[in-house]
Amino acid sequence: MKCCEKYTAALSAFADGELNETERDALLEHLEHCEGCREHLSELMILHTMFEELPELDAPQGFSERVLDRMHAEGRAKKRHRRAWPRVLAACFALVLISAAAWKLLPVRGNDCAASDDIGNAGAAPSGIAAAPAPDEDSYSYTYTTVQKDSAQEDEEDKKADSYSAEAGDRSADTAGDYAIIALDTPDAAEFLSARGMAVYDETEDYVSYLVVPEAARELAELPDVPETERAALREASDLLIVEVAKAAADETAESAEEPGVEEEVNG
Amino acid sequence: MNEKELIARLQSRDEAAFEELIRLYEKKVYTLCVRMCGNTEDAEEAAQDAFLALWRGIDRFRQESSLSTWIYRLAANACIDLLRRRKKSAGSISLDDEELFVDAQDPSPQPHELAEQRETQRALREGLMSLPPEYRSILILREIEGLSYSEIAAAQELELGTVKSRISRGRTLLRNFLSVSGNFFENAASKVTECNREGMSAK
Repeated sequence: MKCCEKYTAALSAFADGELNETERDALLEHLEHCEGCREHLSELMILHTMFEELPELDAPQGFSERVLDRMHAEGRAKKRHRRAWPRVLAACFALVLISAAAWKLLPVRGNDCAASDDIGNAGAAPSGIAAAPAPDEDSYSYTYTTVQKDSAQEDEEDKKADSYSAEAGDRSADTAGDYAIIALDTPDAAEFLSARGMAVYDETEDYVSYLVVPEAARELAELPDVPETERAALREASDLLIVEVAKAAADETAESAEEPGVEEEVNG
Repeated sequence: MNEKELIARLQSRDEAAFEELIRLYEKKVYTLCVRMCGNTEDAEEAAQDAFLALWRGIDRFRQESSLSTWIYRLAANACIDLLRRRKKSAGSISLDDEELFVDAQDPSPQPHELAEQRETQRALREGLMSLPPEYRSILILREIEGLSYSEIAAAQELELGTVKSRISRGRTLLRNFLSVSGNFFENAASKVTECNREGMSAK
């Protein structure tokens, strides 16, 4: 016995108590003489009891703690990102200008090594580290395109925030993280990164972080005191990343750099 | 604390309120996610995503629907997103999850009853996973979470008529799957056909 196609949806809604009075009366009248539809209705009921046998499940142990952990992590990343954003824009804009200037200068003053060295080494490189090469077009255009991508994401987020579109807004979860962050308390790192002309991404009481191109990250990995895990991560860098240098370590570097001078004065 | 108070506290970024909300809804959300994803690992990830989506979007929640309807919507979306990311097929359900479908609270059923129960639940689980996610989520919201058609329409942003036809279509697909795989229904093929005119005119 077969059920009538035109009544299938009505039977399903009837089983759910979702028909209005008129619809229900019409269906009941039809059911009176259609065995196929009566059978279909009974199958819907069987299906319903099968569902009823499925138990409600307990969430796994520690579920809420894990959600809260993720919430806190997202909160920290967002704060850092928001605070640093104008600074990053300014830094990248400056880099693009420098890059453009270097690109114009180099072919003309190709033999003038001093000019390119000045651009490449904003400060003196610490001893034992190879002198940094002049920035090439690739590394900085790379920076620029990444920032453009980031800016587009930001715009997208703002757009989502304007209207109640929870569905779209909630799907941004996977793009929340911006750059990989590597934390270091290696004294030479801050000095090295400034010397390589890496932009300061953020600065707080506790740390200074730099936006680092992969080439510089790989060189940074070779500093003597970088712990093995961070060293491996730095060596594998294939995208822009943030290197966070603990402020205490940065200050130590500054102090230790000053101390010999003081000694000299005293000795002198 | 009523729902309005809870929402107000969430909107003022009260973490304790968020924790309370998780505890209130974690069973329902997790159950929905297990039924949608077919395995516990993905289900937990999707359930976490749903709660975080709620936390991120709570400022934009305008209370046109109830909080629970919104949570179901976020959970169903999180599952569909995750399934798309993983591009998982129905064949990838882990058998380890089978015990999740037998009610541990059931007062000591006889061995043969337990076996039957397991068989029914396994078939239903496989049947659900055989459905396109859009049909699966709508059937879960109706049959497991017990939402009304208008609540489902709000949760899935669909017209009421679409909800009605999708539930019906989903049930027919599920019924056909079960008749093939588990001898639950009489015929393998869909028994739905054009209305028998003789039957219609016989009054």
